[in-house]
Formats: sequence, structure tokens, C-alpha cells
Amino acid sequence: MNKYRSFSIIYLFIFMALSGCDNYPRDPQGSLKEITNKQLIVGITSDHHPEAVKVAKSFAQSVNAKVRWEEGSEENLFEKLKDNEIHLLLSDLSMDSPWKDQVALTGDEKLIFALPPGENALLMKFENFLYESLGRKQK
Amino acid sequence: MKKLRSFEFPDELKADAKKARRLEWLTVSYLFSTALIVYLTMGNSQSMKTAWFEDLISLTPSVSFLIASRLINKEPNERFPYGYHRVVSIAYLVSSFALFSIGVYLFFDSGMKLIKAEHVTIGSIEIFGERIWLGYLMIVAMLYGTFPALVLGHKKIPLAKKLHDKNLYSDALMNKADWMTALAAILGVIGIGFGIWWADAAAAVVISLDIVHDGFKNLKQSVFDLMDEIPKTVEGGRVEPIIDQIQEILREKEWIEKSSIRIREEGHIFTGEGFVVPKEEEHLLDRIEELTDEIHQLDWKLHHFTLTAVKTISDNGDSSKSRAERG
Repeated sequence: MNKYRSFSIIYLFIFMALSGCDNYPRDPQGSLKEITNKQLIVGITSDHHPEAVKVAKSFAQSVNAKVRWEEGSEENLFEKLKDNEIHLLLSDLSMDSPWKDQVALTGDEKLIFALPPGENALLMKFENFLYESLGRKQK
Repeated sequence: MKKLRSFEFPDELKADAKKARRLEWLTVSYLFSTALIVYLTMGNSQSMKTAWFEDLISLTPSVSFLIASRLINKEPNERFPYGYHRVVSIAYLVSSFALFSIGVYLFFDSGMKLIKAEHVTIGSIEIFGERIWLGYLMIVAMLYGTFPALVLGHKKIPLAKKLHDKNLYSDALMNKADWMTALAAILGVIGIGFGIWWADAAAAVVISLDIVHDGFKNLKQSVFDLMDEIPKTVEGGRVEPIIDQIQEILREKEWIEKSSIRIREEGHIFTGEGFVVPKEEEHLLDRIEELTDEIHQLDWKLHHFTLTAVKTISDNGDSSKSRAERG
């Protein structure tokens, strides 16, 4: 029975640890911190959706950041996204893109955005903006 | 010719055998329900596929137990004159192989994640009008993977020892592997939330080593059992005390000059034979029959023991001899 008790203690710790955190989840590479009050680097390809540009601009505004556009091919920009060199990728994307396991994809039927992999604070912030502030439906 | 004892367990153990079956049915339905929860929370991701694969493999010991427990009660017949006891050993082989495979798979899967420095992405989801981090939901779902598995595993160990069921024991180890993996995954998700991308994979690597260790030990033992190794205990793999007890009895008998035995394990039960060189041939048949009965009384697990009177004994393949040499 002792083992069961130590288990409940572990659980208790987990919840204490989690409830005590404001900035949770966090980014391993600190993307959101890098962006806030500074600059959002957006990769953009020639076949992006015009509405996505509006979303990117207003997201930057919501975190008080300027937008720096970086044009390129989708392949090229996906590589940059993987290496955390850009924060957001606008292109003609789909949820079952071959890159889906290597980056973070989010969006609705019409608009799909790609974000750096594992930057969960940034993703959380962006999804919050996309679905709560703009009221889009999550796919 | 005497028939093998047709029952698998003596009356006093029948209730435990029934309890073990109930526990295994419970395990099967529990594992199905965890698979469903994994499916509902993790969506169509790579990690979900891994979790599915694990759930499926971890069903092996409980399913093989249920199949074996149906077969063992069949009477010996012309085709299977030794009965169906060995299905338990086969089930044990299959189960321990499953346990070993899960450990190896988990080791390489999470090891590769570490090497490739894969950063795990966990997004958010809307529940009841609130947007929450999917990580929280995953943690709650995985809590369901820890506690019931822990309790099931602990209930099986004493039963496995009583029933001499190594397959049931390996299923308890599978439950242990399940709850430890789930706990590691919980710690991993929490770590990811703190920005430690490698937390998940590192925790899984540590756990996988423990599973590989358990799996390999039992895989080895199950192969040895099928190779008619001298019977070993369910836990700890020590030589069963019945070997010494039989030898003690044979040594005590005045009319025996020299003796030798060999005993093997067939699932829950033991079978074997003994050879005795009698000092005199008077009452030999009666003595052998009495002695056989006396030895059968030692342990319910000894189902079939044949004594043969011989003129001389060569030392090959004698359980007592090889044990003495090993010290």
C-alpha cells in the first residue's frame, strides 16, 4: 500500500507544480519571448492566401511586434521554420502536408498556418488569437 | 499405466485460478478502454500510433492467459497423451517476447527522438468554451494508464506464485511496464511544458531499459522451460524445493542403493521420472508403488512421476548431480 501512497504524492506534486505556473507551457527556444514587443518573422510564399497576411499582421499587433517578411520557396521556408529562423509560415498548406510531423500546423478549413516545432508557448498564443480573438473554427 | 492427474489445480487453488481469470478479463477490457482514450486525446499523431502499437502488444499476456486457461483443462487424449499443460509455457514464451519487444521498441523509438532532437509540438484545444493546453488533457488521460495498471499488476503477483503461473507473472510485469511508461509520459509532457523538449524521450529511454531487463529475463526463462530445464520458481528463478525434497525421500529409503531423478516443468505442473537401484528385489513392485505415491503427495504441482528400478545408474542428466556440480 505504501507504493500507492507515494503515487498520490507524485500526483499532488504534479498539480502543485502546474498550478503555480503562469507561463506554462513554455518554448524550448524562447520564440514567444523573442517576438513579444520586438519582431515577428513571417515566411511567405507566392501562393499564400491573402487573408493569412491579415491574420499575421493582426497577430503581430496583438503581441506588440513588427512584422518582417521573408519571401522564399515553401521547401526553403519549411527548413527555416524547423531551424527556428522564422516564426510563422504562410503558404498554400494543408493539414496532411508531408511536413506535418516536423513542424506545428494549425488552422481551419480555409487557412492553415505553420509554426516552429515544439514552440508550445508561441503555438498556444497563436491558437488563442486565431480561435478566440478572431473566432475561427479549429480544424 | 497410470493416467496423468486430470485436474490442473487442487481444490484449494480453484478459487485462486478463477480469480486470476477474472483479473485477466478485467485487464483485457481495461487495456481496450485505455486504447480508446489514447485515440480520443492524441488525435492522428505519430505518438498516437506508437501508443496504439504498445496497447495492442501489451494485450498479449492477458489474451494468451485466457486462451491457455481454456486449454489446460482438456483431458489427455490419444493425440496429446501428456495433456495440454505446456500451453502455459508457450503462452509464457509469447508474453515474455511481447514484453521484451515493447522494451526494445520503446528504447529505439525514444532513443531516435533524442538523437534527432525532435521537439514535440503540443497545441491547444477548446473544451466547454475554454481553450486549454492539450498537454493537460494528455496528462489526465495518461493518469488512467497508471493507477489501474498498478493495482492489477500487484494483485496478479501473489496469484502467479500460488498457481505457479509464470505467464500470469509476466502479465504482472507487463502491467508494470504499462504504468511506468504512462508515468514517464506524464513526466515527459510536464517537462515539455517547461520547455524541456527532451524530457519525454529521456524518461521513456530510462523506463525502456527496465522493461528490456524484465523482458529478457523472462524470455530466457521461458525458452529454458520449454527446453525442460529443472523447475524454477516463478519469482527469482530459484530451483524449486521439490527437487531436494524428492532426493531426501529417496536417500532415506533403506532398500535403495542409488537413485537419480529428473524433473521438468510443463506450465503450471511438473513431471519427471526417477531411477532407483534396489539393494534387494523383495517386494520391489509394492515398494515402488508406495514410494511413487509418497512422492506425489509432496506438491500438487508434481502431476506425474514415474519410478523405475534399474540395475545401474550412469551419472548423465541427473538433476542432483548437475546441481551439486554447480554448487
